[in-house]
Amino acid sequence: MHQPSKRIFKIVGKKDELANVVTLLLAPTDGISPVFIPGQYINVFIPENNTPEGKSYSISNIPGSDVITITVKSIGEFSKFLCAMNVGDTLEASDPYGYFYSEQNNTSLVFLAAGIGITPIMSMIKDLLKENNTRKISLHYSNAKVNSILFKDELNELEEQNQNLKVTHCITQEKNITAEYKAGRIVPEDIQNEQNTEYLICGSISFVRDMWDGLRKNGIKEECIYTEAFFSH
Amino acid sequence: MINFFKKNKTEENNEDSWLYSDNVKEHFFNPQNCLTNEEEYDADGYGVVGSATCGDMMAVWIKVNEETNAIYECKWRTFGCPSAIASTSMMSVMVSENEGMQLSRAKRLTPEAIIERLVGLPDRKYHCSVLGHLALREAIKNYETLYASAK
Repeated sequence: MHQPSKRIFKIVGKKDELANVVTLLLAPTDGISPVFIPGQYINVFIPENNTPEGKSYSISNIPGSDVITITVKSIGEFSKFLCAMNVGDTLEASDPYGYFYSEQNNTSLVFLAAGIGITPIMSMIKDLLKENNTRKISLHYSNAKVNSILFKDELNELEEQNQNLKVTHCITQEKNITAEYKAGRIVPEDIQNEQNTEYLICGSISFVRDMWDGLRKNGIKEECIYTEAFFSH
Repeated sequence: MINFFKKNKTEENNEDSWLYSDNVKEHFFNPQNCLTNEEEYDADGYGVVGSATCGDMMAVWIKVNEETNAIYECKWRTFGCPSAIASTSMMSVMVSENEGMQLSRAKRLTPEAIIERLVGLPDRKYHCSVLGHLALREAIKNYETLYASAK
């Protein structure tokens, strides 16, 4: 049976990203560095919350560190509990798991993200760019407002430093935005259907469904599309 | 009495909807490709995800045509809810219909594709469609590992 094994992690750092989003740095107490593929997630178990099945959180950092980070939006009872945890606290979590990552190594990549759905994509983008990346990467990132863009400064920096990365910020609920942002939702039908390209979508269930529908209407084959939908905890 | 299976087209796919489509009902009441006795089933690949002690559990068995690299049979069994049963039943049909689905294509059989064929699934039941998809991935991985080691 496939069931990722569980380990105890200690929170060794906590960073406020936005008013309702924090990044937790988790170090395994057994001292064995976590091995994962960017795009994977861990299941977090908090017995006090009566959720024996745990809740899934995508990993937001890249491999090669002694810690893994999860970036959590406080939107449900479970995530509020997690966001309120402090450095020094411990929690139980599974080993990394999941299949939300490109299995090719020479395709161009188009990422479509909404809100907190940027977390696994951030891990993938940073990992791709850490070495001499030649793959063309586009990120279409949708947020309600400019000040709700997660990892905004880091994304700007990555784009400035990497010619192969193009980031488009779509702002859905704010008027009078500057030219660096695009007003409105991501329109998947406008995304070019290019040869040798893979498309990875992450966000809410409705966002993922709409983007997947739109890409397919644009003639993009299902086997070129990867999806990961988040639901509130 | 509340009619849990009443169809309301305007609420399909709606975040607040908890009503099932006709296709979901059909696959729940008449599940396809369910395997009840794996002892006598000689699968090429097997995957199981979840845990019966703390939630849903899903097992998938596949048979693969080595020459075409296509899945020609997909069986499953679950300890899960009606949505898990319906979505995995539909997944097993999609994977094995026609000449069978290529492994490369089956790896990208997303929950969205399964839900589209079911003509919608309430959003709060989305995770049920993920179970079958992950168990299928594990079965393909199992097959590829076995096949690679046998070569």
